[in-house]
Amino acid sequence: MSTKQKVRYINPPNILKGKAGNGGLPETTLIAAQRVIARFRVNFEPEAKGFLQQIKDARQEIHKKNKNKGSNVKASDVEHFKILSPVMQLKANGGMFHYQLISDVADICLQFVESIKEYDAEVLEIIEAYENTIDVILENKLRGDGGPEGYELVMELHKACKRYFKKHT
Amino acid sequence: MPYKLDDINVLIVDDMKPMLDLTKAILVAFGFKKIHLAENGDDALRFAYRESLDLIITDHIMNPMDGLELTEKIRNDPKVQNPYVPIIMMTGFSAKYRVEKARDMGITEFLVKPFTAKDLYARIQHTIEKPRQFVKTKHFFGPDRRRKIKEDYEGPRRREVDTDETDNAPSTYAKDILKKLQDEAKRI
Repeated sequence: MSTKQKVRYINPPNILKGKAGNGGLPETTLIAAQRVIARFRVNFEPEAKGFLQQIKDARQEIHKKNKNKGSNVKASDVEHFKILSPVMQLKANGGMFHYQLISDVADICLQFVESIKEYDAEVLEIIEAYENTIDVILENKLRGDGGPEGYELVMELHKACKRYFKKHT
Repeated sequence: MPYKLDDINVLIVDDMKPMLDLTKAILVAFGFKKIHLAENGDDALRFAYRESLDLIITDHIMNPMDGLELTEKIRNDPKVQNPYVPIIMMTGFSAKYRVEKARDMGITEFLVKPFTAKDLYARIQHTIEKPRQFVKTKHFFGPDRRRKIKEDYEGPRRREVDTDETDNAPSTYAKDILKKLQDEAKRI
């Protein structure tokens, strides 16, 4: 039996090109637009605290479930996205609103959570470490990348994840 | 002469108000003037019923309708004025399988947050300069997911091209566009 799909190709009119014309945007315009981002100031802390609370709630829910079921929640279960989603929001929006350190920490956490297969006690412990780190950053109102200390912090968290994978692969 | 973006009908969709404002501010700096905002997928869809949009920039994770569901509806809901509209999805996710899932839902371009003005411009420029043809199969309608054509590819082919049915966009739609372009040309 053939597995080929019947396909229809459509070339819609390029309205965008018709309206935009040629020539692209000059470098000066892109520099001005980047300046807009640089000058855009928002107090991201209330949102960040909200996302952090969502992570904490989801972790505690997973911890309870593990305990009740006697087996670990899997990365394919619905609870996985309850952690993944707020971590992603911290990474994405933290970076956009000049909370670079929060974004960097959340990025490592995101990569870690995207790579695990199940939520065992060690995974939950590492996630809790991320929560505590972000808590501290927020409490101390650390904006920007946190300087050399911020870099060290990120490296340490990165190493913790590496240790986990070394042990489990 | 640089791009003339003031007549492009663009819709930004994001449930986080500051992100909506920031994206709008960047587009204003680029030269866009017809910028519409929606704080959720439902409002965005209703807008797409009313207006023929030229570009949509949407967030990924939103409630109750996320960016992927919105895209699926834009592509397949017959009430939508322009189902071919290029859709750029902003997201914090960058894992390959998520990009592939977004592509399978009909997303045109994927923009990883945090992004720079140049990153956003690159996606917009790509949709202007390298528009993707659309593919309609029993299970998918959206931009062609194949970006590269390997001329020397000799493996099995999954698609059976039905040349008789290959066509362009609905004729009335195309006519409207041509008319608009003609009017523009007349003014020059």
